[in-house]
Amino acid sequence: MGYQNVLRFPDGFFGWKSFFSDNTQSVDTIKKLGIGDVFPSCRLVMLYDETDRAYLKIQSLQKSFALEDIGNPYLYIVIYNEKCLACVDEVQSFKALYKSLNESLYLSDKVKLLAIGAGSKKRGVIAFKKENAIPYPLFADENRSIFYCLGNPVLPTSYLVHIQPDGRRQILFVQQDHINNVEMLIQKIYSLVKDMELPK
Amino acid sequence: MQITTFSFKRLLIYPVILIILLVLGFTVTAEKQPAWFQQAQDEAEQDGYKLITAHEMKALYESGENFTIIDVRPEYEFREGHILHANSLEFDLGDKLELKSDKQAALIGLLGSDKKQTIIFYCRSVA
Repeated sequence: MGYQNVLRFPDGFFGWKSFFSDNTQSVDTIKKLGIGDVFPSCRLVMLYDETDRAYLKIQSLQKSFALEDIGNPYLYIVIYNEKCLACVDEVQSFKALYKSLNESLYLSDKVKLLAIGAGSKKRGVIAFKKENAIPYPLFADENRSIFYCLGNPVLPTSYLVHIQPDGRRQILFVQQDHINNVEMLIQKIYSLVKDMELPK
Repeated sequence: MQITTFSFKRLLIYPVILIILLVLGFTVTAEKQPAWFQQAQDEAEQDGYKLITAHEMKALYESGENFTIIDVRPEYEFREGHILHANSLEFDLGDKLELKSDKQAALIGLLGSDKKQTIIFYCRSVA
């Protein structure tokens, strides 16, 4: 395009904020949902009927389902977008987490991992799943309604959600940064689930 | 004779001190760069642009010089917080392969016709 003096600031917004937080500005602030908040109610559409239905233990044969229809009391929900570089980089960690959850005698029947593509179209989700050989279920949040209800989190963000007997979806844990150690995350999930399962 | 020996010793000490300072200085500078910096540097060389550090950018702000700064993160992230006076124009992975005509037009609209101006792009961070 002919511009001669093009520079890149590789530290990015977060780098700048850590150096000079006074030299930033914002247009608006939306409350991001966190620990103790209720995960938004949503209906997701099955893209891989049989495998997803079996993994999530969904009894209903309808094409769409609500999180409360899932037959497991805990969900690890990843919010991502296939065009986000950090989300693509983090796929390997989520695959390792999925594997560890399935191999855990205690957690495999309690916690299921699924991912929701914020602003992703169904065909985009299918292509992303195929390209990255993702074994866990992926769903599309085409109009970003779930994403907005969560308070526009930085992608990828993941939530450990407890589906309570009355159907309320309580957030137990939020993971926003890069997962440095999957084993430590599994331990965290294990201790949170164990605490919730203690008789009150 | 004694004076000559003394001067010779002093002359020898200066280059030694200089070498020590250079080595120490290099080590300190090398330690300051985070692990991803080299990768960012390689990408910059390959794609024909330069990197700017936080302190260089701060100096640019303080100099009062005109420059255009573009935040390439999604708009919702920009709205929640951005670097002072930045403009929002989202870029994603696909744009690296092909910049669509509408985005190209938006970019030209933002930058104008001055081809010599300083333009700074940033995203979240490469870390």
